[in-house]
Amino acid sequence: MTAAATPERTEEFLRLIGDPQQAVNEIQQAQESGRLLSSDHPRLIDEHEEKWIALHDGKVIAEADSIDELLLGIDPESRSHVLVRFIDRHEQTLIL
Amino acid sequence: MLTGRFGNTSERPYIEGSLIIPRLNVGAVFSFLVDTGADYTFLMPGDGRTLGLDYTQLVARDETGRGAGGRFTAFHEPALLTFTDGAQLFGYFVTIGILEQRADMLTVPSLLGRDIIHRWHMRYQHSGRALLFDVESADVVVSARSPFPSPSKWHD
Repeated sequence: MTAAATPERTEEFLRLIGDPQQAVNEIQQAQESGRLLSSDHPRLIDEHEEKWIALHDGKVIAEADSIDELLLGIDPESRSHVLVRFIDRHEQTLIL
Repeated sequence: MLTGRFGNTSERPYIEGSLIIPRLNVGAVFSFLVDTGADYTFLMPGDGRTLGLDYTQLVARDETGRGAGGRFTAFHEPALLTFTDGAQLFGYFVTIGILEQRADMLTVPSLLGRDIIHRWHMRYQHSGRALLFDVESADVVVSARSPFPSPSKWHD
């Protein structure tokens, strides 16, 4: 693995992300939420079909019929830490 | 090694990471759809709304984009993408695409494109539910225990 970072680049990186351990924790919390989205037990489709949901650290913390309604219910300071998804039983076919 | 996952209903491949757009002072964690067909990483309208992105501040307009759905308009913006294996952070300073606000694209996940994927070795085994990435290169690699100069606004 190669990283051609100059000291200035590394400094810029640390200035943007802040505490590295906290950045790791926040991504890991998102990974935990991702695991819930991938889980068969429980399946979110069974409880939140056709809903927008917000997840944090592997838990559903909010649910709404629209993304705007969902975001209104989440503290703006906390939005950067949550995953937001629409739970659709009949997923759109994506050809990107 | 980075770990991805497959969606429960869609079976699409995803990986979680953080995205910071320094010029606009916004950043958040996202679940990216791993898309080897995407020339570069794209922020989609739903995630843009979650991010609180002010689309009127976007200036680098590009109307040359094409996908299976036809032409699209996007904006280019320098960004920092970060991923972790739990012990280290891998940072990428890239220019992402930000799709214009479109209601029909609201539920489409943001895309992790080849600007990042080309720098990883991907192991994709759907039958074994394994989606793993060896990082071949990164712009910055730091340990989770690295000292840092000051708290970032993204980590209150």
